[in-house]
Amino acid sequence: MSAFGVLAPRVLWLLLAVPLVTLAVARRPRSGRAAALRALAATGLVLVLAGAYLRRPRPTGGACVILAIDVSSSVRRAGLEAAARARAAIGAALGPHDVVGAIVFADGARVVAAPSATPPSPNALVAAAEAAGLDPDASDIAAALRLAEPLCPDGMQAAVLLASDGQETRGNALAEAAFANPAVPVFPLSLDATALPPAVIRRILAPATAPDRTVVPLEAVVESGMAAPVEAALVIAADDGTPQQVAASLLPGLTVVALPYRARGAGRHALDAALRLPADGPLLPGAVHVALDVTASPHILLVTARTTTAVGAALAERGMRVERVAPDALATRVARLDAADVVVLDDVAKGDVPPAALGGLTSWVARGGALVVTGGPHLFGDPAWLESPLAPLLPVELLSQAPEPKEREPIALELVIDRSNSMGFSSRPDPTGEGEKMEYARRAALAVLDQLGPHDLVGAIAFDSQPYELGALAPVAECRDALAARIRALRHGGGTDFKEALAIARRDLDAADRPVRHIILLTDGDTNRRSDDHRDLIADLARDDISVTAIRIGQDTGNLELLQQIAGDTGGEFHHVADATALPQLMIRDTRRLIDAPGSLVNAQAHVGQWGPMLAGLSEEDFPRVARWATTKLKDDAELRLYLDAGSRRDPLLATWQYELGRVAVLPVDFQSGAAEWVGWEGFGKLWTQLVLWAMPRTAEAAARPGDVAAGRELRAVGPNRPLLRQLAATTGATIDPAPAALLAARPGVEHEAIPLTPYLVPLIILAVLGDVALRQLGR
Amino acid sequence: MLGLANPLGLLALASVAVLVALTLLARRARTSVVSSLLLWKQIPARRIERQRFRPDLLFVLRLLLLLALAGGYVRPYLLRPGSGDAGGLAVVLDVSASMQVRETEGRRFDVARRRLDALVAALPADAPVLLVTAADRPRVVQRWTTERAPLAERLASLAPLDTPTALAPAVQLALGEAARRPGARVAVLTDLPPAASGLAPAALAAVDWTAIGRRDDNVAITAVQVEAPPFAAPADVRAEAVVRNFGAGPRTVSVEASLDDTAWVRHAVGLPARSARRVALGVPPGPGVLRVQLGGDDALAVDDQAVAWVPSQPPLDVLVVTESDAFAAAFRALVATTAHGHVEVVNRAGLDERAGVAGLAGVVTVFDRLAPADDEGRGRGAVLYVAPPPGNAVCPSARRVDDASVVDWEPGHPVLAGLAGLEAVEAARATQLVLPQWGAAIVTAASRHAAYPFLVVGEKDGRRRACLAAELPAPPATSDAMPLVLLTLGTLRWLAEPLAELPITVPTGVPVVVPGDAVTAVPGVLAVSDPAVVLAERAGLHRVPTAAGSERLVLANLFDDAESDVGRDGGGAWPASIAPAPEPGDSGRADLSWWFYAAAAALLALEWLAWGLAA
Repeated sequence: MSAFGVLAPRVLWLLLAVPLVTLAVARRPRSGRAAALRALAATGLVLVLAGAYLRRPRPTGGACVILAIDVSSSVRRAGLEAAARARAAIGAALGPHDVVGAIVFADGARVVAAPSATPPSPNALVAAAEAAGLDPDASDIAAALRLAEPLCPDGMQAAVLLASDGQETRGNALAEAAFANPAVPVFPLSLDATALPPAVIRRILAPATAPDRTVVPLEAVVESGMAAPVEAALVIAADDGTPQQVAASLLPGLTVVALPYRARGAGRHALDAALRLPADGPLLPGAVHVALDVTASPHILLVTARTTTAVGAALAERGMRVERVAPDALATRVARLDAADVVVLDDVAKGDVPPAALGGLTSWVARGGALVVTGGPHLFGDPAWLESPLAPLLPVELLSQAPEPKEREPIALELVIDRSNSMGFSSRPDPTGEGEKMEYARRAALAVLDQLGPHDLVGAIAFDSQPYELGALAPVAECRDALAARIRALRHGGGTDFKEALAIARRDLDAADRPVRHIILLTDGDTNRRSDDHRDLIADLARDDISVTAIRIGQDTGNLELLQQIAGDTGGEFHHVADATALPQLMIRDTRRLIDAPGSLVNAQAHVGQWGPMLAGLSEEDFPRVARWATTKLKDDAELRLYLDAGSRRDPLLATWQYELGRVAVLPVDFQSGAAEWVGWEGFGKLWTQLVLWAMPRTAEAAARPGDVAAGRELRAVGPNRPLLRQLAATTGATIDPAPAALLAARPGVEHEAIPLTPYLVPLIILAVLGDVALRQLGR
Repeated sequence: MLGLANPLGLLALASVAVLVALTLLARRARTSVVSSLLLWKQIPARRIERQRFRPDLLFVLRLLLLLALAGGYVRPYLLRPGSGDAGGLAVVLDVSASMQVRETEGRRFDVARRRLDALVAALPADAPVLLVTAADRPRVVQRWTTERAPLAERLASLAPLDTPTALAPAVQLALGEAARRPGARVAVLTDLPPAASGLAPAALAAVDWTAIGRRDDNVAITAVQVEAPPFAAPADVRAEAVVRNFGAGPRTVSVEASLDDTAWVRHAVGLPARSARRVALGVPPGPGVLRVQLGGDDALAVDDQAVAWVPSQPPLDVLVVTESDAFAAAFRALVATTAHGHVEVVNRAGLDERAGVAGLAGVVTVFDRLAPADDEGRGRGAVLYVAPPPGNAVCPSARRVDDASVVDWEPGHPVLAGLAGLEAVEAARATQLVLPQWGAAIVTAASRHAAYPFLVVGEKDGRRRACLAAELPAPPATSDAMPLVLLTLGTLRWLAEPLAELPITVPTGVPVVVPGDAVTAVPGVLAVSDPAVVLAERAGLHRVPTAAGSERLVLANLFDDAESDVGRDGGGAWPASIAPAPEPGDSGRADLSWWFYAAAAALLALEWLAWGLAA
């Protein structure tokens, strides 16, 4: 509403003179109309002298509108277009004192047009925005407000028209707006949705650190604002290297796209990811940046008695530094466990590990270390572990591997016995004249025979420089007596060559339909062959799941490594026995281990229980079958990742858990015996790599997540941050998308603009004077 | 100098032509019917004379009247003395922290002030001066004035602040003011070279730039961090400082830390040129205000000190409202991981009874799949809504979803401080939250291509509250659930913080929204309310009164590498190459139009009088 007023009210007293004039003139004939015009002119002049004006709801000093235009990646041209529309809308409503200025902002803010009565043209705004040299991968609305607020000349009513999506990545616009003095209303403008990016990479999910030469689990979280699926491409470049393009089908909403990246070279690497939409189109603006710290290759401490291990080979092949340590050497190494990333116990018997080493290992895991335990019945079937410090560390309970006899599957066992000449030697007076080694070998073989059940298959082969089959593989019930008689009749003599005997035993066992197939090789001497001659045979035995327990009698060390390799590679045990009197008990124990192993139940398919990062990219259908495993029971707080159906039970194949600050994983299976098929599977290395990376401790650097600082936050969502824009408008007393009149109107407390009436009165006065003159001159 | 503000008003002179025409028309022959021509015949014919234009007094008066009206209409003006060549000077004086650097000739600020005095002294006595200070933001400390005394008084009262520099807005302000005064110049006195100002070349060209400063031997504390895992024992709290040498030569400084003004540790730190080092301070002896101070002389003192807060880590006291034994057990297990945590479980019906028996101030109430609307305004402590049901008014949510995975988060939020591996947070069952007006989504999750808030936190009516979308797994302490457990613990820690007692930690020069009650400004700390925002201009420890009548601590630090990197090349002067673009305006003009209108009024009266007399 307009209101009339005058600057000098006293001058209005002159209006009292106007009626006198009118009356005086009106007495003259035909002078009435002239008098009226003259009175009008006089009144007008008095009003002009009094400074007559009309007040209208506009600020006295004029309005100053600053267009704050977001030119960051998440807005692209939408901000400039919205500003151009706003400029056109308010242009017609601007008063003579009103001015319009413009700033552009992204990571910072720049003035592109100082406040002026002539608003900048849209083309000028675009050119100025391009020349501003701002980094579009950030939005600092607070900086824009800080620059805009003092830009308006003193005495003008300032307002900010904010053309932004409100996705601020720096500063705090609300705090900045609240601190403006005097308060400046911030009027957000709605952006044209079609001009905004149709899809954005919200975030790159990446670990802060990754070991060298490992495949880093990088994923891009892409949000598409489109209503239908669209084909796009993600372009990833490391350290400004050659970009790699990954095709992706973006569904409406979120799509997580795996990005292939293998860490190469320790140090910090910069990864840039951008989106190409459509897939063969140009890159959308706003690359996402991630900093990735590549550490040295994981250091794996592999504790095993084996000379070659499938697990160690798989990890080494994947670029990890594998340090093999014998179980009995762990005690000397345990003080330096912090140098290792992960400790792997591979088919280790309790008796081989010094007790002191286990205590150190346990406390290391509790402090954040990582432990993976794998092995067959040799490890998990060793009852000595039950009371050891290792047992509470594991996510599975170690069970007595001795089921009811009636439940036991029959086994197949071949005894391969050295009868060479040296077996007749004796270390003490020998009443039989046969020498104690031969004697105890016979006793041991007979004792083993006594351990077997009637349905077990048993055979025996003696050898010197050539094999002698004492009895073919046959059910114990059918051959026990005959075989025992032949064993008792065994006499020493000849050279030593066990290869052919082993080959026969393997052939016989291979034909046997028993899940547990085992050879006990008993020898005291050096073979006539080279070690390499046995390589193929050992591999065949391992492939056929035929385990070999090698027992070396005597104090000399000949053949030691070959026998260790045979035992280790086939999943059997190796024993070096100086005292021949221990032979029977040793062989009984080995036989019982086989007989009691419930893993001898079935040949089973592995199933996925609870998915986890160690199983990423692996498919259940691709898992090889497991011939034998050790039975364990999952503990309450543990996660069952993989399992094997064993009747009514689900036997853990891979169990994990958090042990205080550390992580422990268990695979109660021997990958060189019961699960040898897995070694040839293409996913074997991936499984182990991912398992090791999962278990590895999180470093302090990882907690700091340096990558987060550099991570692109500009393109975090499709569409504007309306809550912030609404709050910004409400806090500053503004509205979204204001009408020009509302934008330019005087705010409460601001003096309203006075429009002088003089420019309108003076022409009127002139006309009145001329009319008066005309009437008087011409009317005479 | 005379000018016309409305030259188009000269069109009003056309009225003079009309007047002449009217006068001529009035003198033309007319036919009059009379009863007798006897008397007319005695008058000799003077046809020629009748046609000639002979202005009379009335015509002259009318002409002058119209000329006066037209003269007023063109709005003649005179430029006032001093509004032309004297122009004036708009001065931008840098008062940021780096101006505190002590050079051989004194502080940079004092050097700049002396240069400013000289500039003003060289101006004509009637030249107006505008004084703008530039620190974190521009401030007009003296509007245009020709009086030197108040200007000197203002100048004398100034001192450099402890804030970073934002020179561009101040220069833009000065340029805008100068543009409205023809002939006015802009002078900038700072320790920054023009290229570092962030101004466009066109703006720089219109400015007389004076840069001062040379010293670079500054060592600064650029960060102080107190790592306190959620509900950790005091022995698990660690403090460290980052010390950076900005100088070109190696330095050895002492780093001294004190807690609540009691000396704690002291380290000697060697720093190669332009290098930084983390200094582990160790385990603080207790909660309180940690002050870190660098020993040894350097160019800038304000960044030789820093303050931080060592939290007291009170035990977690939780009231769980649930109908589920499994949830209660899971939460007990969760709280059992904290030192001296206490859990009390009630069902929904028992909540009112429990609240009546003892107050719930200081207790975090956890609602399991409940969000009772009548919980509003009961004066309870902080609240965590776990998997709030769809349709509730407190933590709005759309529906239950399966397999939620975290896809985004706000790394700077205090709830997430120190949490790593958020991308590993997953929940088999969750509630799809909708953002309420009172909160902000600091963690976002996705299920089946739809993203939604996963953790919403905020404050309302002086209470902190949070909505967690995930249903807690049972048992919670599995390796898979560990990220979610840590996120929950982080949320509980934030909720359990005694809001009114928490110090406000701010960087100097940056406005920060204050959680809790608004505070009142004190020297060195500016404050506004609604929303409650503080801005510290001085580093150090400040005690500010709150609207509720209590007192809060404000810990302000200057952690700004650009500001601490005080080394300059000796400075110099860059004179303006162009004048500030002038803008049309009325300043400095004396409007003469009123006098023309007054004359017109007088002439109107005279003409009337003359006409009356003539008649």
